[in-house]
Amino acid sequence: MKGLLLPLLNTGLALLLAFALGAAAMWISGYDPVLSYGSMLATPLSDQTYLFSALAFSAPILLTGLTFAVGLKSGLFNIGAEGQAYMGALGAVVAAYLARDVLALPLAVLLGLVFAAAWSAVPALLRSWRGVNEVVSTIMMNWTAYWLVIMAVSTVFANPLQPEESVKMPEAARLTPLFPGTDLTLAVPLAYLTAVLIYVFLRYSVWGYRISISGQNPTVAKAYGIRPEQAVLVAFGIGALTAGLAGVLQVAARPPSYSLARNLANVYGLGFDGIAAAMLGRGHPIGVLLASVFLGILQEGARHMQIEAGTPFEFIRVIQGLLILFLALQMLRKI
Amino acid sequence: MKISLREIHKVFSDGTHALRGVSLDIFPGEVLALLGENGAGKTTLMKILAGVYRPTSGEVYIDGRGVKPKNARDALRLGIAMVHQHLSLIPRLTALENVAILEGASLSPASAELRKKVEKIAEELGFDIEWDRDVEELPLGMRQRVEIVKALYWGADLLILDEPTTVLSPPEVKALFQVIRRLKEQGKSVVYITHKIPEVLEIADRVAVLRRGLKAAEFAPPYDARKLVEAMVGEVKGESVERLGKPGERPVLEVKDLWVYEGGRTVVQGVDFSVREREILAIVGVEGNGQEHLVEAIVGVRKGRGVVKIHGGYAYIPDDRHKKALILEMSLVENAVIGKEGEFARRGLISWRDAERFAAKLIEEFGIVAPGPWALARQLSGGNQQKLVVGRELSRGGRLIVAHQPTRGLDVATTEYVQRLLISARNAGAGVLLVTSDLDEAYKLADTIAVMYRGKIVAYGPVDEMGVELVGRKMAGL
Repeated sequence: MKGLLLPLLNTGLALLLAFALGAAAMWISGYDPVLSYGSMLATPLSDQTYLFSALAFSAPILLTGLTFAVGLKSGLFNIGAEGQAYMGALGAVVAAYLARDVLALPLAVLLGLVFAAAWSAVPALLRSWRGVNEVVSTIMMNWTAYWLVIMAVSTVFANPLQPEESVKMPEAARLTPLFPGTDLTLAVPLAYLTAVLIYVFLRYSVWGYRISISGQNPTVAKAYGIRPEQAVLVAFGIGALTAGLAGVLQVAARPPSYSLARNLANVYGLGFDGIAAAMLGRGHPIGVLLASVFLGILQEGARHMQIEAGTPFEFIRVIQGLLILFLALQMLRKI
Repeated sequence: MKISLREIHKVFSDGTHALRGVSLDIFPGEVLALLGENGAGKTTLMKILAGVYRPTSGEVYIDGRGVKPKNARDALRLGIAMVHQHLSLIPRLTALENVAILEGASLSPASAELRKKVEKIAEELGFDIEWDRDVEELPLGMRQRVEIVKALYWGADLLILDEPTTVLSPPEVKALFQVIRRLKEQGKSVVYITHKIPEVLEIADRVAVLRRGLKAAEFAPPYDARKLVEAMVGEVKGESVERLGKPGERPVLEVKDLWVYEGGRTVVQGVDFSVREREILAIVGVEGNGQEHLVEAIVGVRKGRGVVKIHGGYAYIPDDRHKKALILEMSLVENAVIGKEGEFARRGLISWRDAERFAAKLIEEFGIVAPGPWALARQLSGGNQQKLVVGRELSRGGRLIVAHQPTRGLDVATTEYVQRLLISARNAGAGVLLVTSDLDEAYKLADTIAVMYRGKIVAYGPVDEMGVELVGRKMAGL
């Protein structure tokens, strides 16, 4: 357990610093940090409905976090989850448009994953064949997806009754709350299960091993017949599937709207929250799971902080940003 | 100023014994060449002088006074400056700004006075430097000149140049030699670290040869190139050990007309040879004559033009276990199955229990001293890391074994052990391509010897027809 202690301490330190500086920012801005943090953390943990809502927030963050974590393992800085989640959501919307019954659900998963994978294929192949830096290419793909999906949702797939959103998932194809009155759908256990599967994949599968070796030292990999350019493709591919699933589930399994907002509000930022979760979870799938639950609690808690302490929701962004900053500093020092 | 190093030892934290008691004098106004193979300890010794490393034991004297340089700035205050192989200027600052700053010192603005002084030093050396351009935009040769000016500006009396010609084109090399001569005229001393003999012949007033962390010999002109090579790579004392039977007929490796390029240079120039079963072919040569590129083209890490045919799989023991063979942050178990992970998998999943058993077997069989199979490779000493690599590779069961400097940096016992393993693999029918710059090792192991010089095989033949004198001469390019 010695190997676990140091990362935990480091993560704890980053959390402490982020919250301390966040508190300072609140105090300077004239808000009460004690009351703010109290309502932020206590409310979601003391009420089942709010807790479930926090877990519902955690699911898509976890899935996009896994994209980044698998990328890191293979030596990539794959920040394409954002755009791939848009494409996944678009897939679900297209399915909702095409099929008006229960079939829309499997179709949504299929199309969403295919769209996301296609979106990831561009940076993946560029990186694999020509060594094109994935940071630049995935950012470009993110923005292309952003405008493309907005265009699709505002035109062909717009909801004629509610033009600020897309067509809705047919009722038969929706994943509804497991407990009435909450936001907790099958999406949550599904996302957690995915994290476990990814863990098993990385730890036990041949390709998971090849990804780790290639990520740690491509020279060694090449010398012994492991091809890093293939490992990169696999890592990109798996990342696309989890990110695409996040997008699909935001449409098919997230009450109350079951549609994609025209400004993409219900998928916007998932990729970046995922990066935070992956960094906070130190790239380990189970760590990312725990981190995403924590971030989910913060997101849910921030709403209560706004109501109960009057502290603006945006402070959660400040804290999350600081957290990433401190975690990134620790990563840099290691390199 | 006269500098004396006395009985310098250096043991690194990973257990590498880089220096084993070296004493050396550097006199004012001389060019001392420090000759030796990679890993002989040349750079380590000079970094101790330049304040980069502290010696584990031993003393440094300047004009009879004991000194202990703590960092580069401290060394510079004593008049010692080192121009590192990987130059240490700040890319985003201009050449002039780089001269102005000093490790640990605050950034002083490039004043007119500074500029005048710097330009005067440059002029005396015949340098034409664009002082106001960012260093990252300057060619490597010019960056080196900036470093030399910087050292002189801060009052260095001893200039240590670490493999200065690796980044230079031939005309730049010529210019550098002129600068060195001019520095000498100004009364400065220069230590010239290299493994290239022609350079030594041209520039050195005196030569000290390091080998495996010890001073092997000192020479004064006129030099005998062959003696220099011999001191560098070790005299041939070994007898052939228990090689049983003659090499077979069937080739396990065929290389035909192989060319390898890097950055516009042709590093391997049309090499032909083959390795047969039950044969150890030693390719010898002073390092940097294309051996590394040749090996890496054969195992497919590098691209080459020509034909490489390997019959029946291969094992690869690279020259740098940290960078090319092991992943230090992973466990022995994970390292043991690199490249053979498929053998431990069923339906795509690796059985780590089987892998652990295999690692335990390697530990047992090859006498690897390790806390356990799940210990990180980093925790092992250099010798045990190498045993892990050799064990893993020999258990691959390939009919060809490519061994590149397999005993570099190992202690005597481990060296002996690894060499025995290679011979028994050969006796069992494998073909071994041994690329080494240790002549002793080559004569001890090889059935056939080939000499590589400037990317070509310049001599080739059975070991008993390849006399030491001939090989030494060919290695020196004569």
